[in-house]
Amino acid sequence: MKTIVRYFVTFMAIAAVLSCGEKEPVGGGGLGVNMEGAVLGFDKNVIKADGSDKVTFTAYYDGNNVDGSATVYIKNESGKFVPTGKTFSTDKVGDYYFKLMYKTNQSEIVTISAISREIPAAVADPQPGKTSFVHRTFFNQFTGADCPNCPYMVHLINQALEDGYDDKVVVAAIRNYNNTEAGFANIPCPGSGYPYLHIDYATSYNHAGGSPKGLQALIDQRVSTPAKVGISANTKYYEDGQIIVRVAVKAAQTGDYNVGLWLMQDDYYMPQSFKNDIPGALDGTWDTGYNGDSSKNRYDYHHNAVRVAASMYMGSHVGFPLGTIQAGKTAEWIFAVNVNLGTEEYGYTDHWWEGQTGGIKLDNLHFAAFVTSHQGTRYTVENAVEFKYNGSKAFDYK
Amino acid sequence: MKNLINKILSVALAAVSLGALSGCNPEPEPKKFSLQFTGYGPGYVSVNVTVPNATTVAYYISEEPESDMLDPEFLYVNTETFTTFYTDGPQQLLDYPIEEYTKYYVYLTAVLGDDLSQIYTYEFETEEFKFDQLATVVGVAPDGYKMYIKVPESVKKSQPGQPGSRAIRYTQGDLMIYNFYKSGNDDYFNLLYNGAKYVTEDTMIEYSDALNYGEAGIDVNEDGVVDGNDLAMLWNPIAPGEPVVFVAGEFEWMSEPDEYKKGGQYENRTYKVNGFSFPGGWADGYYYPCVDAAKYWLHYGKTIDEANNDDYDEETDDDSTSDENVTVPSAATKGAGIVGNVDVTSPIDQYWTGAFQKKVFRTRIPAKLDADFDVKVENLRSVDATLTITPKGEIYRYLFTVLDDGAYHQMLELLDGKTEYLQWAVTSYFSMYNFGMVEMVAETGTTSAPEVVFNLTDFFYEVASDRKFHVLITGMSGEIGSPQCFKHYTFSTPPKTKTRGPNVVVTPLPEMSSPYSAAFNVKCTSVANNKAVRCYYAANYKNDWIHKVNSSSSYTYESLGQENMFSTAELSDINSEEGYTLYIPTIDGETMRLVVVAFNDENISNGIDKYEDVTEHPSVADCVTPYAKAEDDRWNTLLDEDTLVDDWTMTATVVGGKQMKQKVAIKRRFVAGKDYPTTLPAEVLKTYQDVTEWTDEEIKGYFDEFQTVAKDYNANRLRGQNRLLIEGWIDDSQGSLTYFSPWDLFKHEKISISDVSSMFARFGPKIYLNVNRDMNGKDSLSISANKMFVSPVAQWSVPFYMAGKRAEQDDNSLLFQWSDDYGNWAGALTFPVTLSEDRNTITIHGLEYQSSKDAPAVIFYPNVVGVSEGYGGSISYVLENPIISDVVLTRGWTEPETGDDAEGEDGSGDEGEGEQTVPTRASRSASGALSPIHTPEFVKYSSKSNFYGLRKRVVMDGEVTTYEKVQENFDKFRKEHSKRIR
Repeated sequence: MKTIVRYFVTFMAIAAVLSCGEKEPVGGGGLGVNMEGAVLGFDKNVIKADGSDKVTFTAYYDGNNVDGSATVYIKNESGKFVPTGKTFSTDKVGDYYFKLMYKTNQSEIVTISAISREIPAAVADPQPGKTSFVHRTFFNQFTGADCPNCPYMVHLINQALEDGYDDKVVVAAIRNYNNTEAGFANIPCPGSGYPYLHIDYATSYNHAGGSPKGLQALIDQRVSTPAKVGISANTKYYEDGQIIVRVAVKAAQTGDYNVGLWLMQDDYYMPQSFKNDIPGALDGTWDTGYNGDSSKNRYDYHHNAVRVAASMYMGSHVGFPLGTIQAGKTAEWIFAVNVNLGTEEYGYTDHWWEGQTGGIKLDNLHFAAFVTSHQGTRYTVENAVEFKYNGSKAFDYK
Repeated sequence: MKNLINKILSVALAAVSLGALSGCNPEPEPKKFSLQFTGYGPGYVSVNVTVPNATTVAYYISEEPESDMLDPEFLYVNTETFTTFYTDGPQQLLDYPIEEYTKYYVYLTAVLGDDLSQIYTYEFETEEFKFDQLATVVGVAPDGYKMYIKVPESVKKSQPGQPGSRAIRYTQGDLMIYNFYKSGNDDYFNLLYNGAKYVTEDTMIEYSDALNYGEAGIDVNEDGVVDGNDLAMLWNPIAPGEPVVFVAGEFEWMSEPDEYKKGGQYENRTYKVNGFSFPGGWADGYYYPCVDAAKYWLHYGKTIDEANNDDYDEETDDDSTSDENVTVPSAATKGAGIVGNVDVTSPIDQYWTGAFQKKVFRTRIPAKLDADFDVKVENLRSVDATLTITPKGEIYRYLFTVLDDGAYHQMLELLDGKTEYLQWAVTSYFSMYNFGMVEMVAETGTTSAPEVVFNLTDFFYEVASDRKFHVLITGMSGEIGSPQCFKHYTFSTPPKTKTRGPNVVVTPLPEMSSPYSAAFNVKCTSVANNKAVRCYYAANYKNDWIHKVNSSSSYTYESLGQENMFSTAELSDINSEEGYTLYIPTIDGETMRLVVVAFNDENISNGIDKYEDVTEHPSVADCVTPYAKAEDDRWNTLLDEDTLVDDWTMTATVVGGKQMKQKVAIKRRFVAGKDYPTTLPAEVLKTYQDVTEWTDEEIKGYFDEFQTVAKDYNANRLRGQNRLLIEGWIDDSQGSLTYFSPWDLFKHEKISISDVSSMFARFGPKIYLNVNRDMNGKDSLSISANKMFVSPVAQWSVPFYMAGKRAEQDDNSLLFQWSDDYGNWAGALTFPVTLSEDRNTITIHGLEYQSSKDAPAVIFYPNVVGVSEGYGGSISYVLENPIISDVVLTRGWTEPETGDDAEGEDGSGDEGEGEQTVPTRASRSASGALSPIHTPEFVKYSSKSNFYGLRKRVVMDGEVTTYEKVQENFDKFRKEHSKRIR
């Protein structure tokens, strides 16, 4: 079996704002990427610092390949960008910065990292001859602590995920209603208001007052189609906060696929406004206690808060291109995520009033890996899986 | 050789072509880019440019020569400083801090289509920068400017932070904001409230979008150092061509009285020094303006003492005047400074003794965009019109607003009457906030902003007739706000032609009503010449209408009557021959009042509020619903003999463990003379003579009506529904659950109930003891907490309802009803009741409740709960007597020997524990959450209101722009800014 191995690394401090991206086009039928202007494509974001492993760049302008007439620049040790070739290799560990110049158009800067760390082994495929994967849907829940109707959406999703539906969905909460949260995630909300639920980058749902059964029907509709891909992953956590993640994507249907990886935090504390508007919260008929502790409110403790999104490609979080994977074949990406646990256990950046410090608990971190496919410039999610920050995940067959 | 031939052919063809062209109408030679460096100054390098169109240049300034930068592409890739020129002539490169006594090397290339120009270079060495004014505008950009403050030597020499020391305070804003705040405030006031911005050394201040992040600062260069400019906090972004007012003035150090220092109770007060007011609670600082106070106050005809004794603001106590412990500044006698640009309209400007300067200038004026807008006004009527704004040309973004003539002149006044500022005004932050500016921008992937179509009624809360309107539109071709085009378009609405609203008749339909539904016909009878085009309604019990309207002058029938809007289909029926039949949910035996507010096409209403007695208005009608009757008659031994009709002692444990006892009575009807007399007593007649203007006949007629309703009540409310009546309930508070019978209410001098039906609905506290019969014919008892179909437990003051409360003393969770999974009403609570074999003990039990199917059951005990309406329609629930046990009734009543009938024998509160078994507790799980009950006041009949006829409000965010609305916005704006000015 031919295996394509590619690497991606991101060095985003977990307490920092996620990387900025252009607001992608809004609309049904997928998340759009920006092919306008100069774009520096790459087949790896991380290479082994062994002098031979190399990244190959591709020059695009307005979506067209312009390799022949564009120049790649690398930032040298004196901080100046100087021309370089279309490939790059090194034996020195570090981050390297590149951009593309095509006529009078410059691309965004691309970071390539060279690492010397061990890459975790691939997870054994329990049934190599099989391609009928469990299909899970990817919920992007745009929310925030000051958002008036967001507690309703939390309530609705929680109710919808009862009765076994929690295993049909991978939920990622993108907290950017208000930018004062430590966990602010700069992933543009495709809707015009909050709360907003984007399902598989394909379906929009903003009816916070909807019924759990309606949402369950939507989930059933998404996962009832055969999964086009399966996903497996293995991780290796290093004490300095770097996590190397090996993600394998096996195709049930031949196609062009991209893969993304998000690191998410549970038990993220941030006092939630308007939580008492949940039906029954005020009169006590709905138990708002948290983990059996009635002095806490469950709506102040948030889960699946996206803290690192390793998926930005061509201006959108559509994941990195694996190229075409033939049915039954597998392609892999390797991500390296740098985690700065910091001292901010709490959602407020300024929480001196709490008198609390301590940093993010490692055990509260877990990953979501997702795979997209595209029609032109529109990307939709085909499958998603979850696993612990230091865990692994085998292909999930039906 | 082949190449050579090709070249020759090409040249020949080119020559022919050129000749052909020149023989016709020769195109003018397109302008070519050219640039000359013309000099430098503090913070800028000046150039003179010629540009064919908007042209971006990349430049790099270094203190060392860098030969790499002679390569245009190398420069372009490595520099971070770019600027775009839109017009020919002198310009400035502002993105590098040019300082004194330094040598600089400038490298520049221009982006010309797909190519970069040659490198332009410039070398210079700076000397001392000389300034002769307190404030000098060094350079302007579309989004900001640089201002150099030259601090007088006398200020530099003073000891910072010491009494007598000085500083230069400065502030800036656009002209509209300046004029907005100028009203009543002199410049010293603006400088005092400038966010504590001051300098004591010569300083270059830069305002720009990139630095616009306030005190927190940002890392502009991404070098890890926060370089957001604390000196130049910008609350409002600067737009191209903005008229800026920059003010700087000399202030002297001033201490604050100890009692006004931070944290004290005086924090929110002000104190005065030489007649100038200062806020308490600030730290010591440069607060005292270097002004000749004596002359300044003389200008207003006052001495300093008189100014000190002027009234304070409302929030300031009279006794807060104090100059004790204040170091009185010496500014009045010092002086010397640079004084320029004095505004004679601002009195204090004339009396500065320290340095002072005011600069009024504009940021870089955008180039003219060769584009325009078509504005089309259609369907113009006295109260509406349809407007279409169509961009003509390459307009990426445009902003527009529609102002009535009053608002327009208000805007113009803030612009010092200068119409040339209107183009900027539309793009300003101030307009966005105060003048309802709306933005239209090209969608992603496109370059032209779309056309917009809207009705004036989408834009205005109410469109004035016979009024001139102004449409102001500023368009721009790119994302950066330049170049721009501007359009000012006016039109007027015609005057109204009608003098009155539509005639809408509301007719009660008792024959079509049911006990729980009141029917009305709503019909417009003036369809031919005065049709109803918009129609609203509200319904509530007659008694609630009267009390609501009487409770506040802000409540009127017309304002309250617009609670629900009739849909388009319903409106069509209203304008039909048959009219529209509306059913309002209600309870039996109540008087439901329907009020319909209708408007014609000129927005004139049917004028209900013009009627002194609204009941005479054809659009107001009452409908009394009949009593409900049980389907079967369970009038058996439990009820037909008076086995339970007696006085009883009600006992329960309330929060705190106290045993409460209360005399209650069980009745099956009101017949005995002790309940009400059969002839009208003289004292009651006199009461009515005193408090009403009725004749004796009318009063007697009202009494007859009372008797009629009472008989109806006896027959139908009690027997007709297989009920006994429990009069009274335990009252542990201030008598709010004192029992008032219908007759008590009828004869009461002060309690006012609007009609007899309402008296029988609202008397109490009353509890209905229901007789239930199972399939075997066996009877049992229960009481219900039915809010949907039974009148309140009592409502001669606030409404009281029966609800369940958990046994935990400090847990006031309440249960009003069963709900379905979605929080909707799914049935009334039923508290089971058991009767002892000897029929001398009746026990009202709690009921079991599970919040979810797996949750443990908890018991909710019967309680009477008051509903209190708060500000803005919020409601809260008041537990008059939190009962945490079963309620036990034992036959008979013994008057307590002492006055304290509330205390139990031992007060321990554990009486009865475990004595009762509850055979048939209601048990029901509810996986969903329970909804809070609706306020009984003016229930919005949402089920009747489809809203699909509601006006669409999709485009407009602003919705302002009448003169009155602008005033309202100003108030909000002022409040928001007041939070920022310290």
